[in-house]
Amino acid sequence: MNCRHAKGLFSPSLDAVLSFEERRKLDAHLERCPACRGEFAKLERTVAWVRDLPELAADEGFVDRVLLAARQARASQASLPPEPGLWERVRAGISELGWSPSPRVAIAALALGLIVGVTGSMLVIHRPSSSTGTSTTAQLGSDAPLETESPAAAMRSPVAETPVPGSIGDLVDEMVRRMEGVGASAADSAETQALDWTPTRDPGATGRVVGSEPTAPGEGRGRGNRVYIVF
Amino acid sequence: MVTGDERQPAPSPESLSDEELMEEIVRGSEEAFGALVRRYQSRIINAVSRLISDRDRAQEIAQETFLRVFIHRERYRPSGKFSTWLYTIAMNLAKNEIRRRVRSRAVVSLEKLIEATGDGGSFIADPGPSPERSFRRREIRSKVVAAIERLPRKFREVLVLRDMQQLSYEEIGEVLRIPGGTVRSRINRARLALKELLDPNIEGTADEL
Repeated sequence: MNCRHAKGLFSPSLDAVLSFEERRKLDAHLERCPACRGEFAKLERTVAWVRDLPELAADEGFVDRVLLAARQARASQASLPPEPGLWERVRAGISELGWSPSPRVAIAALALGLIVGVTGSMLVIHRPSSSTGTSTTAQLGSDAPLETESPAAAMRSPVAETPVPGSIGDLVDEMVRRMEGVGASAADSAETQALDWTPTRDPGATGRVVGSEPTAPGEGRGRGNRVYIVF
Repeated sequence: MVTGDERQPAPSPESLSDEELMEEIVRGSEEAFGALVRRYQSRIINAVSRLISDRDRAQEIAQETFLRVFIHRERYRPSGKFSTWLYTIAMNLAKNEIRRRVRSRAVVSLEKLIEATGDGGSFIADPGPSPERSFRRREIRSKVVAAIERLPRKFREVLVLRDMQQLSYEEIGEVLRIPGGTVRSRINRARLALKELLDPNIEGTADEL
Protein backbone atom coordinates (compact mmCIF):
# COMPACT_ATOMS: atom_id res chain seq x y z
CA MET A 1 0.00 0.00 0.00
CA ASN A 2 1.36 3.42 -0.93
CA CYS A 3 0.69 6.73 0.85
CA ARG A 4 -2.03 7.81 -1.61
CA HIS A 5 -3.96 4.61 -1.09
CA ALA A 6 -3.51 4.90 2.65
CA LYS A 7 -4.91 8.44 2.67
CA GLY A 8 -8.02 7.16 0.95
CA LEU A 9 -8.67 4.94 3.92
CA PHE A 10 -8.21 7.54 6.66
CA SER A 11 -11.85 8.56 7.04
CA PRO A 12 -13.30 5.08 6.65
CA SER A 13 -10.88 4.07 9.38
CA LEU A 14 -12.07 6.86 11.69
CA ASP A 15 -15.66 5.85 11.00
CA ALA A 16 -14.90 2.17 11.50
CA VAL A 17 -16.20 1.13 8.12
CA LEU A 18 -13.02 -0.52 6.85
CA SER A 19 -12.99 -4.16 5.93
CA PHE A 20 -10.72 -6.43 7.91
CA GLU A 21 -8.25 -6.57 5.05
CA GLU A 22 -8.23 -2.78 4.56
CA ARG A 23 -7.70 -2.26 8.26
CA ARG A 24 -4.78 -4.66 8.29
CA LYS A 25 -3.09 -2.97 5.32
CA LEU A 26 -3.63 0.53 6.69
CA ASP A 27 -2.26 -0.37 10.10
CA ALA A 28 0.79 -1.91 8.48
CA HIS A 29 1.37 1.22 6.39
CA LEU A 30 0.97 3.60 9.32
CA GLU A 31 3.39 1.48 11.28
CA ARG A 32 6.19 2.15 8.83
CA CYS A 33 5.24 5.63 7.47
CA PRO A 34 5.69 8.50 9.94
CA ALA A 35 4.38 11.06 7.40
CA CYS A 36 1.05 9.27 7.06
CA ARG A 37 0.90 8.77 10.82
CA GLY A 38 1.17 12.52 11.23
CA GLU A 39 -1.45 13.19 8.58
CA PHE A 40 -3.78 10.69 10.14
CA ALA A 41 -3.41 12.32 13.55
CA LYS A 42 -4.17 15.74 12.07
CA LEU A 43 -7.23 14.42 10.32
CA GLU A 44 -8.43 12.86 13.54
CA ARG A 45 -8.08 16.21 15.30
CA THR A 46 -9.86 18.03 12.47
CA VAL A 47 -12.81 15.68 12.74
CA ALA A 48 -12.86 16.11 16.51
CA TRP A 49 -13.05 19.88 16.07
CA VAL A 50 -15.93 19.63 13.65
CA ARG A 51 -17.79 17.31 16.00
CA ASP A 52 -17.15 19.69 18.86
CA LEU A 53 -18.96 22.59 17.19
CA PRO A 54 -21.81 23.59 19.49
CA GLU A 55 -25.43 23.22 18.57
CA LEU A 56 -27.50 26.16 17.48
CA ALA A 57 -30.61 26.64 19.53
CA ALA A 58 -34.01 26.93 17.92
CA ASP A 59 -35.69 30.29 18.24
CA GLU A 60 -38.17 30.61 21.04
CA GLY A 61 -41.62 29.77 19.78
CA PHE A 62 -40.30 27.74 16.85
CA VAL A 63 -42.58 24.79 17.55
CA ASP A 64 -45.61 27.05 17.99
CA ARG A 65 -44.93 28.73 14.67
CA VAL A 66 -44.65 25.39 12.89
CA LEU A 67 -47.88 24.17 14.48
CA LEU A 68 -49.67 27.37 13.51
CA ALA A 69 -48.45 27.04 9.92
CA ALA A 70 -49.58 23.41 9.87
CA ARG A 71 -53.00 24.38 11.18
CA GLN A 72 -53.34 27.00 8.45
CA ALA A 73 -52.22 24.50 5.83
CA ARG A 74 -54.77 21.99 7.02
CA ALA A 75 -57.54 24.59 7.01
CA SER A 76 -56.52 25.63 3.53
CA GLN A 77 -56.55 22.03 2.32
CA ALA A 78 -59.96 21.43 3.90
CA SER A 79 -61.51 24.53 2.36
CA LEU A 80 -60.59 23.52 -1.17
CA PRO A 81 -63.41 21.75 -3.02
CA PRO A 82 -62.67 18.21 -4.15
CA GLU A 83 -60.97 18.27 -7.49
CA PRO A 84 -63.32 17.26 -10.31
CA GLY A 85 -62.60 14.04 -12.10
CA LEU A 86 -61.82 13.92 -15.80
CA TRP A 87 -65.39 12.95 -16.69
CA GLU A 88 -66.85 15.89 -14.76
CA ARG A 89 -64.48 18.21 -16.53
CA VAL A 90 -65.26 16.76 -19.94
CA ARG A 91 -68.96 17.06 -19.23
CA ALA A 92 -68.61 20.62 -18.01
CA GLY A 93 -66.67 21.48 -21.15
CA ILE A 94 -69.27 19.92 -23.42
CA SER A 95 -72.06 21.63 -21.52
CA GLU A 96 -70.49 24.92 -22.42
CA LEU A 97 -71.38 24.10 -25.99
CA GLY A 98 -75.04 23.75 -25.00
CA TRP A 99 -75.12 19.99 -25.38
CA SER A 100 -76.01 17.53 -22.59
CA PRO A 101 -75.32 14.05 -23.90
CA SER A 102 -75.67 10.77 -22.08
CA PRO A 103 -72.32 9.33 -20.93
CA ARG A 104 -72.27 6.71 -23.71
CA VAL A 105 -72.88 9.22 -26.45
CA ALA A 106 -70.38 11.61 -24.98
CA ILE A 107 -67.67 8.95 -24.71
CA ALA A 108 -68.29 7.87 -28.29
CA ALA A 109 -68.08 11.47 -29.48
CA LEU A 110 -64.98 12.09 -27.43
CA ALA A 111 -63.28 8.95 -28.75
CA LEU A 112 -64.09 9.97 -32.29
CA GLY A 113 -62.78 13.44 -31.63
CA LEU A 114 -59.58 12.05 -30.15
CA ILE A 115 -58.96 9.81 -33.14
CA VAL A 116 -59.52 12.67 -35.53
CA GLY A 117 -57.42 14.97 -33.41
CA VAL A 118 -54.49 12.58 -33.05
CA THR A 119 -54.49 11.74 -36.72
CA GLY A 120 -54.74 15.36 -37.67
CA SER A 121 -52.00 16.45 -35.35
CA MET A 122 -49.68 13.71 -36.65
CA LEU A 123 -50.27 14.81 -40.22
CA VAL A 124 -50.42 18.55 -39.89
CA ILE A 125 -49.11 19.89 -36.64
CA HIS A 126 -45.45 19.87 -35.92
CA ARG A 127 -44.75 20.53 -32.29
CA PRO A 128 -41.34 21.36 -30.82
CA SER A 129 -39.29 18.43 -29.60
CA SER A 130 -38.69 17.76 -25.94
CA SER A 131 -35.54 19.85 -26.07
CA THR A 132 -37.72 22.95 -26.11
CA GLY A 133 -40.44 21.63 -23.85
CA THR A 134 -41.31 23.17 -20.56
CA SER A 135 -41.73 20.11 -18.45
CA THR A 136 -40.80 21.08 -14.96
CA THR A 137 -40.65 18.54 -12.25
CA ALA A 138 -41.83 19.63 -8.85
CA GLN A 139 -40.75 17.77 -5.82
CA LEU A 140 -40.63 17.91 -2.11
CA GLY A 141 -37.96 20.32 -1.18
CA SER A 142 -38.17 22.20 -4.42
CA ASP A 143 -39.59 25.63 -4.88
CA ALA A 144 -43.29 26.37 -4.91
CA PRO A 145 -45.26 24.09 -7.19
CA LEU A 146 -45.22 25.07 -10.80
CA GLU A 147 -47.87 24.19 -13.27
CA THR A 148 -46.36 22.70 -16.37
CA GLU A 149 -47.54 24.27 -19.55
CA SER A 150 -46.95 23.68 -23.20
CA PRO A 151 -44.53 26.05 -24.93
CA ALA A 152 -47.39 27.85 -26.60
CA ALA A 153 -49.24 28.24 -23.35
CA ALA A 154 -46.11 29.40 -21.59
CA MET A 155 -45.64 32.17 -24.11
CA ARG A 156 -48.99 33.78 -23.48
CA SER A 157 -49.15 36.88 -21.42
CA PRO A 158 -50.85 36.61 -18.04
CA VAL A 159 -52.49 39.96 -18.69
CA ALA A 160 -53.62 39.41 -22.26
CA GLU A 161 -54.88 35.91 -21.82
CA THR A 162 -55.99 34.92 -18.36
CA PRO A 163 -57.09 31.30 -18.31
CA VAL A 164 -60.73 30.76 -17.46
CA PRO A 165 -61.19 28.05 -14.86
CA GLY A 166 -62.82 24.99 -16.29
CA SER A 167 -63.24 26.46 -19.76
CA ILE A 168 -63.24 24.40 -22.93
CA GLY A 169 -59.83 25.92 -23.69
CA ASP A 170 -58.39 24.51 -20.49
CA LEU A 171 -59.91 21.17 -21.26
CA VAL A 172 -58.31 21.06 -24.69
CA ASP A 173 -54.97 22.10 -23.17
CA GLU A 174 -55.24 19.30 -20.68
CA MET A 175 -56.04 16.75 -23.36
CA VAL A 176 -53.15 17.92 -25.53
CA ARG A 177 -50.80 17.70 -22.58
CA ARG A 178 -51.91 14.18 -21.83
CA MET A 179 -51.57 13.13 -25.43
CA GLU A 180 -48.10 14.58 -25.54
CA GLY A 181 -47.19 12.89 -22.29
CA VAL A 182 -46.05 16.22 -20.90
CA GLY A 183 -47.68 15.23 -17.64
CA ALA A 184 -50.24 16.74 -15.40
CA SER A 185 -49.70 19.35 -12.81
CA ALA A 186 -46.80 19.75 -10.47
CA ALA A 187 -48.90 18.26 -7.71
CA ASP A 188 -49.15 15.04 -9.67
CA SER A 189 -45.42 15.03 -10.29
CA ALA A 190 -44.80 15.48 -6.63
CA GLU A 191 -47.07 12.54 -5.88
CA THR A 192 -44.88 10.22 -7.86
CA GLN A 193 -41.52 11.75 -7.13
CA ALA A 194 -41.77 12.41 -3.44
CA LEU A 195 -38.08 12.35 -2.77
CA ASP A 196 -36.79 13.75 -6.02
CA TRP A 197 -35.24 17.10 -5.80
CA THR A 198 -33.16 17.41 -8.93
CA PRO A 199 -35.14 19.45 -11.42
CA THR A 200 -35.31 18.03 -14.91
CA ARG A 201 -34.15 21.44 -16.01
CA ASP A 202 -33.19 24.67 -14.43
CA PRO A 203 -35.85 27.24 -15.30
CA GLY A 204 -33.37 30.05 -14.83
CA ALA A 205 -31.01 28.56 -17.37
CA THR A 206 -33.31 28.46 -20.36
CA GLY A 207 -36.36 30.53 -19.65
CA ARG A 208 -37.38 33.76 -18.08
CA VAL A 209 -40.23 34.06 -15.61
CA VAL A 210 -42.42 36.88 -16.79
CA GLY A 211 -45.23 36.60 -14.29
CA SER A 212 -47.20 34.41 -11.97
CA GLU A 213 -50.61 34.22 -10.42
CA PRO A 214 -52.27 31.90 -7.93
CA THR A 215 -54.51 29.27 -9.41
CA ALA A 216 -58.12 29.43 -8.39
CA PRO A 217 -59.65 26.49 -6.51
CA GLY A 218 -60.77 23.92 -9.01
CA GLU A 219 -58.62 25.37 -11.73
CA GLY A 220 -56.52 22.74 -13.41
CA ARG A 221 -55.51 19.68 -11.46
CA GLY A 222 -52.90 21.28 -9.27
CA ARG A 223 -52.93 23.85 -6.53
CA GLY A 224 -50.38 26.55 -6.36
CA ASN A 225 -49.15 29.22 -8.68
CA ARG A 226 -49.35 29.40 -12.43
CA VAL A 227 -46.00 30.65 -13.62
CA TYR A 228 -45.48 32.16 -17.03
CA ILE A 229 -42.10 31.46 -18.57
CA VAL A 230 -40.84 32.86 -21.85
CA PHE A 231 -38.35 30.70 -23.77
CA MET B 1 -55.13 -6.20 42.12
CA VAL B 2 -55.66 -5.45 38.48
CA THR B 3 -59.18 -5.63 37.20
CA GLY B 4 -60.20 -6.28 33.64
CA ASP B 5 -61.68 -2.79 33.38
CA GLU B 6 -58.37 -1.05 33.91
CA ARG B 7 -56.88 0.28 30.71
CA GLN B 8 -53.33 1.15 29.90
CA PRO B 9 -52.87 4.92 29.69
CA ALA B 10 -52.13 6.18 26.20
CA PRO B 11 -48.38 6.48 25.70
CA SER B 12 -47.04 10.00 25.58
CA PRO B 13 -45.98 11.14 22.11
CA GLU B 14 -42.42 11.55 23.35
CA SER B 15 -42.20 7.82 24.00
CA LEU B 16 -43.26 6.88 20.46
CA SER B 17 -40.86 6.16 17.63
CA ASP B 18 -40.69 8.49 14.64
CA GLU B 19 -42.66 6.07 12.55
CA GLU B 20 -45.37 5.69 15.21
CA LEU B 21 -45.61 9.46 15.48
CA MET B 22 -46.05 9.71 11.73
CA GLU B 23 -48.91 7.23 11.94
CA GLU B 24 -50.54 9.46 14.54
CA ILE B 25 -49.92 12.54 12.43
CA VAL B 26 -51.58 10.93 9.44
CA ARG B 27 -54.57 10.30 11.71
CA GLY B 28 -54.61 14.00 12.46
CA SER B 29 -52.80 14.23 15.79
CA GLU B 30 -51.38 17.70 16.27
CA GLU B 31 -49.81 16.57 19.53
CA ALA B 32 -47.78 13.96 17.67
CA PHE B 33 -46.67 16.52 15.11
CA GLY B 34 -45.54 18.85 17.87
CA ALA B 35 -43.53 16.03 19.45
CA LEU B 36 -41.85 15.28 16.14
CA VAL B 37 -40.96 18.93 15.59
CA ARG B 38 -39.52 19.19 19.09
CA ARG B 39 -37.49 16.04 18.53
CA TYR B 40 -35.87 17.22 15.33
CA GLN B 41 -35.97 21.03 15.41
CA SER B 42 -32.44 21.48 16.67
CA ARG B 43 -30.92 18.91 14.31
CA ILE B 44 -32.60 20.34 11.24
CA ILE B 45 -31.82 23.95 12.13
CA ASN B 46 -28.17 23.04 12.73
CA ALA B 47 -27.80 21.04 9.55
CA VAL B 48 -29.35 23.76 7.38
CA SER B 49 -27.56 26.56 9.18
CA ARG B 50 -24.14 24.99 8.71
CA LEU B 51 -24.91 24.45 5.07
CA ILE B 52 -26.23 27.88 4.14
CA SER B 53 -24.35 29.94 6.74
CA ASP B 54 -27.40 31.92 7.73
CA ARG B 55 -28.97 31.17 11.06
CA ASP B 56 -32.16 33.20 10.59
CA ARG B 57 -32.86 31.77 7.18
CA ALA B 58 -32.09 28.31 8.54
CA GLN B 59 -34.93 28.71 11.03
CA GLU B 60 -37.30 29.55 8.19
CA ILE B 61 -36.12 26.64 6.09
CA ALA B 62 -36.46 24.30 9.04
CA GLN B 63 -40.02 25.54 9.51
CA GLU B 64 -40.72 24.96 5.84
CA THR B 65 -39.24 21.46 6.14
CA PHE B 66 -41.61 20.48 8.94
CA LEU B 67 -44.52 22.08 7.17
CA ARG B 68 -43.84 19.98 4.08
CA VAL B 69 -43.69 16.88 6.24
CA PHE B 70 -47.13 17.78 7.56
CA ILE B 71 -48.65 18.66 4.22
CA HIS B 72 -47.31 15.51 2.59
CA ARG B 73 -47.76 13.31 5.65
CA GLU B 74 -49.82 10.75 3.78
CA ARG B 75 -47.02 10.26 1.30
CA TYR B 76 -44.61 8.97 3.93
CA ARG B 77 -44.04 5.23 3.79
CA PRO B 78 -43.12 3.56 7.09
CA SER B 79 -40.82 1.18 5.20
CA GLY B 80 -38.35 4.06 4.96
CA LYS B 81 -36.62 5.67 7.87
CA PHE B 82 -38.36 8.90 8.82
CA SER B 83 -35.19 10.82 9.65
CA THR B 84 -33.79 10.09 6.19
CA TRP B 85 -36.95 11.47 4.61
CA LEU B 86 -36.80 14.54 6.82
CA TYR B 87 -33.14 15.23 6.10
CA THR B 88 -33.75 14.78 2.39
CA ILE B 89 -36.40 17.48 2.41
CA ALA B 90 -34.27 19.80 4.53
CA MET B 91 -31.15 19.36 2.44
CA ASN B 92 -33.09 19.91 -0.76
CA LEU B 93 -34.54 23.13 0.55
CA ALA B 94 -31.09 24.21 1.67
CA LYS B 95 -29.65 23.44 -1.76
CA ASN B 96 -32.40 25.47 -3.39
CA GLU B 97 -31.57 28.33 -1.07
CA ILE B 98 -27.89 28.16 -2.02
CA ARG B 99 -28.79 28.13 -5.70
CA ARG B 100 -31.07 31.12 -5.26
CA ARG B 101 -28.31 33.02 -3.50
CA VAL B 102 -25.73 32.15 -6.10
CA ARG B 103 -28.09 33.35 -8.81
CA SER B 104 -28.80 36.58 -6.98
CA ARG B 105 -25.24 36.82 -5.69
CA ALA B 106 -26.59 37.43 -2.23
CA VAL B 107 -24.40 34.97 -0.40
CA VAL B 108 -24.20 35.79 3.27
CA SER B 109 -20.74 35.32 4.64
CA LEU B 110 -20.35 33.05 7.59
CA GLU B 111 -17.51 35.27 8.69
CA LYS B 112 -20.11 37.93 9.50
CA LEU B 113 -22.00 35.40 11.55
CA ILE B 114 -18.86 34.55 13.44
CA GLU B 115 -18.06 38.20 14.02
CA ALA B 116 -21.55 38.81 15.28
CA THR B 117 -21.78 35.87 17.61
CA GLY B 118 -18.23 34.92 18.41
CA ASP B 119 -18.44 31.32 17.37
CA GLY B 120 -20.85 30.90 14.53
CA GLY B 121 -24.25 31.46 15.97
CA SER B 122 -26.30 31.74 19.10
CA PHE B 123 -25.16 28.57 20.67
CA ILE B 124 -26.44 26.66 23.60
CA ALA B 125 -24.45 27.59 26.68
CA ASP B 126 -21.28 25.57 26.86
CA PRO B 127 -19.26 26.34 29.97
CA GLY B 128 -15.53 25.96 29.53
CA PRO B 129 -12.99 24.99 32.14
CA SER B 130 -11.02 28.23 32.20
CA PRO B 131 -11.26 31.65 30.54
CA GLU B 132 -8.02 31.18 28.57
CA ARG B 133 -8.87 27.74 27.38
CA SER B 134 -12.40 28.80 26.67
CA PHE B 135 -11.12 31.69 24.57
CA ARG B 136 -8.80 29.40 22.63
CA ARG B 137 -11.60 26.96 22.08
CA ARG B 138 -13.87 29.65 20.69
CA GLU B 139 -11.07 30.80 18.43
CA ILE B 140 -10.61 27.30 17.02
CA ARG B 141 -14.34 26.93 16.51
CA SER B 142 -14.45 30.16 14.55
CA LYS B 143 -11.68 28.94 12.32
CA VAL B 144 -13.34 25.58 11.83
CA VAL B 145 -16.64 27.20 10.88
CA ALA B 146 -14.89 29.61 8.52
CA ALA B 147 -12.96 26.76 6.92
CA ILE B 148 -16.14 24.74 6.43
CA GLU B 149 -17.67 27.69 4.64
CA ARG B 150 -14.79 27.72 2.19
CA LEU B 151 -15.40 24.12 1.19
CA PRO B 152 -17.39 23.27 -1.92
CA ARG B 153 -21.05 22.62 -1.19
CA LYS B 154 -20.75 18.90 -1.84
CA PHE B 155 -18.08 18.59 0.81
CA ARG B 156 -20.04 20.68 3.28
CA GLU B 157 -23.09 18.47 2.83
CA VAL B 158 -21.32 15.29 3.79
CA LEU B 159 -19.49 16.92 6.68
CA VAL B 160 -22.72 18.27 8.07
CA LEU B 161 -24.52 14.97 7.74
CA ARG B 162 -21.67 12.81 8.98
CA ASP B 163 -19.79 14.79 11.59
CA MET B 164 -22.51 17.09 12.88
CA GLN B 165 -25.61 14.95 12.43
CA GLN B 166 -23.96 11.55 12.86
CA LEU B 167 -25.78 9.94 9.96
CA SER B 168 -24.42 6.62 8.76
CA TYR B 169 -22.79 6.29 5.35
CA GLU B 170 -25.86 4.45 4.14
CA GLU B 171 -28.22 7.18 5.34
CA ILE B 172 -26.08 9.87 3.74
CA GLY B 173 -26.24 7.96 0.48
CA GLU B 174 -30.03 7.89 0.71
CA VAL B 175 -30.37 11.56 1.59
CA LEU B 176 -28.01 12.78 -1.13
CA ARG B 177 -28.91 10.00 -3.55
CA ILE B 178 -25.35 8.97 -4.21
CA PRO B 179 -23.81 5.48 -4.12
CA GLY B 180 -22.04 4.15 -1.04
CA GLY B 181 -18.61 4.30 -2.64
CA THR B 182 -19.12 7.96 -3.48
CA VAL B 183 -20.21 8.70 0.07
CA ARG B 184 -17.07 7.09 1.42
CA SER B 185 -14.67 8.87 -0.90
CA ARG B 186 -16.47 12.21 -0.64
CA ILE B 187 -16.36 12.22 3.16
CA ASN B 188 -12.66 11.45 3.04
CA ARG B 189 -11.93 14.15 0.49
CA ALA B 190 -14.02 16.67 2.43
CA ARG B 191 -12.17 15.99 5.65
CA LEU B 192 -8.77 16.06 3.98
CA ALA B 193 -9.65 19.38 2.34
CA LEU B 194 -10.75 20.77 5.68
CA LYS B 195 -7.58 19.51 7.30
CA GLU B 196 -5.53 21.35 4.70
CA LEU B 197 -7.39 24.58 5.42
CA LEU B 198 -6.92 24.18 9.15
CA ASP B 199 -3.41 22.80 9.01
CA PRO B 200 -1.64 25.93 10.32
CA ASN B 201 -3.88 25.81 13.39
CA ILE B 202 -3.44 22.17 14.16
CA GLU B 203 0.16 22.18 15.30
CA GLY B 204 0.52 22.14 19.04
CA THR B 205 -3.17 21.83 19.76
CA ALA B 206 -3.31 18.24 20.84
CA ASP B 207 -4.94 19.09 24.15
CA GLU B 208 -7.12 21.94 23.03
CA LEU B 209 -10.41 20.14 23.25
